Amino acid sequence: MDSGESARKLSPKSMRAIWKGSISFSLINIPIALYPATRKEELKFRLLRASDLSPVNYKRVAEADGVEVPWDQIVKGYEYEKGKFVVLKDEDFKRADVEATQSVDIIDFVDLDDINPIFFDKPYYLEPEKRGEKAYALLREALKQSGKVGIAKVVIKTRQHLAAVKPQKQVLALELMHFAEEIVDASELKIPEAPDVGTRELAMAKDLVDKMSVKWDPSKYTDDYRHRILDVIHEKVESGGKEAAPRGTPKKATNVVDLVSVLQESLEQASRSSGGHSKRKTTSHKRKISRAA
Amino acid sequence: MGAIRAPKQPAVKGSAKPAELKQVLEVQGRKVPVSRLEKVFYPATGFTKGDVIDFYIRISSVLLPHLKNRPLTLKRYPDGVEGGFFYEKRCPPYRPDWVQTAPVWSDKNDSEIHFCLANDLPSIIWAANLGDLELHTFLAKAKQIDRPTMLVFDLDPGPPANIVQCCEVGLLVKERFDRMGLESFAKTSGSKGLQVYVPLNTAVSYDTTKTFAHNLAQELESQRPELIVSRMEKRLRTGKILVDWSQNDRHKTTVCVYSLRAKEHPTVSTPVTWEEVRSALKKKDPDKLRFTSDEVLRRVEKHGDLFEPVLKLKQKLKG
Repeated sequence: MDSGESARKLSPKSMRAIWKGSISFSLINIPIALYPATRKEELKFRLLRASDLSPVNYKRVAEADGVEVPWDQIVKGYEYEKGKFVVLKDEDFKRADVEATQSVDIIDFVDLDDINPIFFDKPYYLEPEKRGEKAYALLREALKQSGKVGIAKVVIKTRQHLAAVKPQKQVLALELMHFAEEIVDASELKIPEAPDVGTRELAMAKDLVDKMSVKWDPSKYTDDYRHRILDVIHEKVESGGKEAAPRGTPKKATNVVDLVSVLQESLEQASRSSGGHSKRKTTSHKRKISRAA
Repeated sequence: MGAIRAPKQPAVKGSAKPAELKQVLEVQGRKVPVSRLEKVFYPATGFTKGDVIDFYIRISSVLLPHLKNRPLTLKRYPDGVEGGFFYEKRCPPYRPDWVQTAPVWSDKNDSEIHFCLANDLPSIIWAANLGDLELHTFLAKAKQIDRPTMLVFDLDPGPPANIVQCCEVGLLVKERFDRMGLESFAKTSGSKGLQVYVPLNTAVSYDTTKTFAHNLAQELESQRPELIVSRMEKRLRTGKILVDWSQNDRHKTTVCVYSLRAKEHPTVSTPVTWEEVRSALKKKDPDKLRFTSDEVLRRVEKHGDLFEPVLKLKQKLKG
């Protein structure tokens, strides 16, 4: 099996890359694709109107007049003073940092053990692109064996993040981190210093902790709340779910055939006065459509 | 995991779907589906969807030439003027196969968008049936999409100014063009303002027309700053008329002549003579330039299509 295409898993891309770019540091450039490493297992609920279970939708409306605004008429703005905005377009965001788009720029390497886990926020996976496999594997092994991680800056969706390039078994993960300035200082909380307790109490506390100790096994812990909700849902489905009212239920069967014939009549007249305009008296036709209803 | 599977028996008991009340209109050999003709679209007057379609049928002979081959942005009011509306540029994929479309490149989407063309009566009726009350068209035709056939000034009044003040400005615009030896034509927007069209129908680019219009607007503004603004900011506009030159753009649509507007009453964008504009200004009467669907049909019977020259007259912008 040669390196290159066949070495990469031809997995169906059920995972979608967020972007493609590169890891870069010193003179090295490793082309990669960025993927999310977590997936939210959330139950999705829809808002429905109580009377007929018609799904409720959202519309974007302008504050000024309540008129719906389509996406192509929407811009992003920054409120610099109450009610005053400056508009930022895609070009403006790009201009802010041309270099830092789609690249994981490693600044330093540090010992993983030195990093307080409170800094870690959200994990992503990095997958090497064509021609990057060798360098990728090399970096991964070097990091594994040295116990170090690469501290980098990366821009995802117009926000800059601090991140660590970390080996996760066979994958290089990109762990987004909090900037130091983002960690709230806990010193404002009322926390007691050394406990005002005796040695015996401390020994009992340690004993209790000891008795409840097990080997770390993440699969042991599941979201029971979610499972209980699913049970309730199953119950309701079994006992007869409700279908939403069909859309556009007409209120009553009006004499609709009449309306069509009235229109057909207009059509005859329009085509009879060929090349010109409707010549018959307009007043006699007024409201004929509504009255026929 | 966690997939909900419905039980074997039908979950809903005894509620059959009511029969779909669809009718078909025979129009020039085509079968146009229409529905809910009795639905009131203009509650203030009881004007129904059927009335909307009826109006478009009866105005079609003068309306169609102005729509021909111009990409149309639909402005749909599925629940009438008091409900919400949405614009639709992409011609709905469920259209009948006889509704023509035209591809227009969109930089924003980095692809072509197929716009509807209302090239015949069945297509207009189909669009009206979808609640497309207003007909908004490009200033250029599909086959030469970068060549506007006319120059447009949209005169928009900032309250408490109204169409009467627009008349004053419209006449100033006309006077400018008169001096250049170019004819111009006016129509009501069907809403609050007046629009001045200068037919070109010759080789010209949007860059040229837009720059020309911008310069003219700024000139007028500097001459009559108490009456005219050329920039959009709302706070500048109180009591003044905005000479909106920015409509002269390949991405913008303008409401087509003879189109209904989704106002409280079924008013129409109506062509008017310059005499009528002067008269409304003299009498300071905005109602002289307000026409509902019936009134427009009567006018067309009497005067024919006052806007025909906008399609036919060939003029060239100088300078």
